[in-house]
Amino acid sequence: MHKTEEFYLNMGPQHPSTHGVLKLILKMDGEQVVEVTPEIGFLHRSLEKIAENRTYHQYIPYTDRLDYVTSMTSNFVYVTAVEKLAGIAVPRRAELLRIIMAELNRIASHLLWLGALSLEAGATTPFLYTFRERELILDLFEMTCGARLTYNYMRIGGVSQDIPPEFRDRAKEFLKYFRPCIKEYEDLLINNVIFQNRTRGVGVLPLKEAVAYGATGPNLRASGLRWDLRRDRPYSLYPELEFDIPVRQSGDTMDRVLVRVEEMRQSASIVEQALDRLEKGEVRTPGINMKLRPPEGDVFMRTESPRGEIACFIRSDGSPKPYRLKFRTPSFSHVGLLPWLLKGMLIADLVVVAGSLDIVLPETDR
Amino acid sequence: MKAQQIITRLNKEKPDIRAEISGDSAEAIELDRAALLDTVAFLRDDEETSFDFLNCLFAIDYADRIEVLYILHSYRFNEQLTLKVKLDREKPEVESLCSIHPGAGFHEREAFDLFGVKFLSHPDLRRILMPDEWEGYPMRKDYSHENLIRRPESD
Repeated sequence: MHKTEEFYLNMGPQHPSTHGVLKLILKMDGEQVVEVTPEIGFLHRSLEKIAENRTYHQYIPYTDRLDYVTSMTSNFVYVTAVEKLAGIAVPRRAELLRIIMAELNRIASHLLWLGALSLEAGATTPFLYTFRERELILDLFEMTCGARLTYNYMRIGGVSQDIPPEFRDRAKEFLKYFRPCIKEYEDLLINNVIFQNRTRGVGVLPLKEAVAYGATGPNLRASGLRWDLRRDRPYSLYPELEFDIPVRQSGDTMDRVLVRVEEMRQSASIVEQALDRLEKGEVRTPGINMKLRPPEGDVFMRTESPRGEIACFIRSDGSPKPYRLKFRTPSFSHVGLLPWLLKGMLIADLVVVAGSLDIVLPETDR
Repeated sequence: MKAQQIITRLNKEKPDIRAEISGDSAEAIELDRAALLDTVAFLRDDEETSFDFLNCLFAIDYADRIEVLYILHSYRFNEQLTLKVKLDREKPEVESLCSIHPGAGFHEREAFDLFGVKFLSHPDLRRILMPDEWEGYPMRKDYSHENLIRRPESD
């Protein structure tokens, strides 16, 4: 006679497929997951507390560490929040540079995610391909600000420095090279029958649950809602640029893949348009006090990061340091969604589905 | 729908809820703690408001009170609304929103962990970012720790 018994399995915090230090406590029945309890906080550096002890300018490098895969968009949300609070205008050229960097970073982030996801599904080669292209983007960043991961590029009222003269041609060259690469990923990975079988109809996130649990960004769009903060609550110069917002309907793992792959194409087009619009000009508003004192009040700035909605709340009491600063990060909500989404799944699928949500732990733990 | 219109609608449909525009911010609606659950459920289900997405919630510590801010969003009307409750700093307690917005669970655990706000009838209220055995609530203004050094003010 067979006797079955439920048991607990600790996945993480150090585990190759948890994208950082996420611990999942799995209650298992054979290979089936009965219950998932995520444990986070291993990377908690109390970035919000640190903010209360820094001036507004001093805090910018800390936002890099919020999400090291896409530091540019973390920079972006923080500086736009401060600018909105203090009423600082940004030169046109700086806004375009920010958009170029943010969208290049979006491509880089999606590339890293696609490579990691393919590893989780058991395919090794696509990882090497996506990292090959990501490297070229990092070269562009290095050219611009000297850093490859934590850029510290944006400033309150602009960006730290102008792009070097050869940047424009190099970026155009990259875009020309990159577009056919997306087709290559599709042939290598997405149209592969094994990958299709692993992802179609697996980890379905219906729209109702996606909204109720606070899923945002590509995960929400894969579930069928055409919602993108760049279009629906526009900021910076996004209203001037033309781009599509890819949407899929079923909310399964494959849809999350397809939405992100299409987003890479759209981001490439945004970068191209922004490059064409670049005109000579200032890259930083002059005369901003290094000890900036925004007027008393609060601001809640929402922007679209590659992972979803990243928002920054700042409460100012008129002093040179924020009274309270809070980041609403997409991954935090997505980790909160895991117990619902992963329940009843096979453990081999769990790895792929959790990976498809694109969770990044430093921004979860802050 | 702006905050003032939402208050008018609340007063009409739910006369026993007392809500007013918050003094320090034009966009926030201040509520009594007791009215929070009713209001959030009403705002979610009402056809004219439809605030279906709890963007986030977080606490702010003031010398005399702790405030919890709820950022709601309506995908249907593309509107954003801030709700605010003021809590007693000595014993901050407020009802959990998990029954209305299940995504609130994680955010409430964070506010509990860092500010000590107790969310009543939360299914799993325990520390989330700090270690389980940690003492005190680190984001409170009067929190002190040997490793926490405040920079002297200089101008």
